[in-house]
Amino acid sequence: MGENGFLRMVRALSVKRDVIFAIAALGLVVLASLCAPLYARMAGVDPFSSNVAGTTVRHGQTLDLMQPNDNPLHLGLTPLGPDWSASAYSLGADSQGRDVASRLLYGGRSSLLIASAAAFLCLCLSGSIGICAGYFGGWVDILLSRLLDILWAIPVYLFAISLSVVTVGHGIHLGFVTLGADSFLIPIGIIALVYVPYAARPLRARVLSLSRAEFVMAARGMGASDFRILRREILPNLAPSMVVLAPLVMALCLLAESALSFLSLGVQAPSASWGTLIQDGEGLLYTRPIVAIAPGVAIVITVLALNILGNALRDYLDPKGAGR
Amino acid sequence: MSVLLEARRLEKQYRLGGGRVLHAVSDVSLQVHRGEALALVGESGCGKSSLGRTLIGLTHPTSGEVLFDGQRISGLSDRALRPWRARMQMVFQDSSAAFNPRRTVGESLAEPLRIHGRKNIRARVDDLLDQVGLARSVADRYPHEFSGGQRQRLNIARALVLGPDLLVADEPVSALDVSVQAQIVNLFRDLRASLGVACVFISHDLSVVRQMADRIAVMYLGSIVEEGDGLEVLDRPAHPYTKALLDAVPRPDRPLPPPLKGDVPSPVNPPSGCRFHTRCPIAQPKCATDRPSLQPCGTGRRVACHYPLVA
Repeated sequence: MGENGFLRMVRALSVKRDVIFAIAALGLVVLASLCAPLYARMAGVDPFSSNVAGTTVRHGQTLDLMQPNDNPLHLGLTPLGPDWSASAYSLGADSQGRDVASRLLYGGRSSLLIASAAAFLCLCLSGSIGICAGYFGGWVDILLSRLLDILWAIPVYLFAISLSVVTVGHGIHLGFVTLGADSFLIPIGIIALVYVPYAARPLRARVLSLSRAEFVMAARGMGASDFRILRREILPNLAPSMVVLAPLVMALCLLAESALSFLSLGVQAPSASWGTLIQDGEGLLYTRPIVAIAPGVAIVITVLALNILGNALRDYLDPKGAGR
Repeated sequence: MSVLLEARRLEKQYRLGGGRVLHAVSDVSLQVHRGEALALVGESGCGKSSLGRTLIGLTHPTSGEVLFDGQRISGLSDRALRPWRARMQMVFQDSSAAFNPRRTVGESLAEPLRIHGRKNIRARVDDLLDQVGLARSVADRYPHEFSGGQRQRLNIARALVLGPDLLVADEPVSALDVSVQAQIVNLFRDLRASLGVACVFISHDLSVVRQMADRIAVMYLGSIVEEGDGLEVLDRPAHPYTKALLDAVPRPDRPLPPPLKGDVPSPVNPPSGCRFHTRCPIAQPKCATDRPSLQPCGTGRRVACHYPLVA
């Protein structure tokens, strides 16, 4: 795709209302997440330390973060609820007395970072596998395709959970490479790996049809080497398929990250992600549902926007549906 | 005239799985002389494209050999074949698929020059665009911006850019309108006259072949059944299959003769003896058992038939 092609695509997509909404929503989510430290400093809250004995000032009143329950015996404590103001504790506190809004923003940072890094890694792996299998064919293709079939046969979440159970809590020690138990690279690698079959199969199919195209045969007839054909003929024509897959894979990765973190198998405390936030909110579902609902809504909006964007890109770049 | 390209007992088989083998090209021997235009004629599926691709080393023959300028080029690795590639080029049938859609045609024309490390690329590309009758400014446009006829001109330009001795053109005009076909046929003639490049035209269209070819080789089910001087073959066919092909061309001065009965047999399971005997109007018992070889017949003609129509 030349520069003209890119501009034409932007122009064609920017007239679609759903695409505008999707990009606006994504931009908002990303921007808000980037501003997390700014918010935390301005509101004067620490999103990562327990603050059960703390207080906050609301409408001139000093309030305990942990309020006595309003049952007749006043047993137990309930965190402060939301007041929807633009100040500290606007979304209330969680069971540790931490500011929900700041944790939501910091959680977004982790979730978006892990999801986008995993999607990038996944597409790199899938692209390499797709090119090797689709272009070289023969036993390389048989080997890689059967391997993908095996991965495909294992339910994605079961596979991800199994890998996480083994790695999280111990970290990974392979020769020189040592990843701490709380490293983001562990969930990134696991999530990227489990979605490789999902992306590698359509990419392999695309490479296969490209490598039988007459212009590839023409290049071979001119004496181009395999490497040159891959770089000059196949890759530029594979790029649109990868662009189409990127948002869709990222949406899947975001969901997987949330699921793993919800099960304490992804992002580890004290770090937060939208998945861990939902887990925090689980115990407060009856009294302070906002603690679980807020990150849930954030996930829904982001995934929805990514899917709308992915579908629009697919309709534009791949109208005949090679990547479907 | 000296021999430029020679095929000796060429076989090309494709394994289909399940132990079945498709015999695309079987026992083909032919010669292409310097500067000559040879037409490979036959129905679709008769192996003419496979033969064309095998001749210029795009696919490896199962057995037999191809000699270019006296040197054996079949069985060479891609790397060893590279210097030879510059001397033989292919013009593809579907001009819309023959160019990388994400590159300008100027880039596509320059690519062969870059691969072979040539100098003065821009000048050479301009030169070629002049020769095929296109404006030099089209080099900055993308393939989808051209009509089929213009794209076929570009296709020819790309095949000629390295200055080859041999062009193999696979159905170069069959995807074009009749009026555009005539332009491309004329372009081929002019280029052959000015450059002296030898051509192998693969075609199923006998009227195009009549205008383009010095010599004709007729193929049926992977084998050459008749080969000889162009007008000789077209005006006095010696093989019953050639005659049937010519009879199938509608002409205003006569009613269409009855077509051949039956379908082309499967190249996976070709008939015994003469491969044409299942459909031949003059077949004899001998044809079902003995396979005829190409035998000289008249002047400079070879026919693979036990009972040729002309002596």
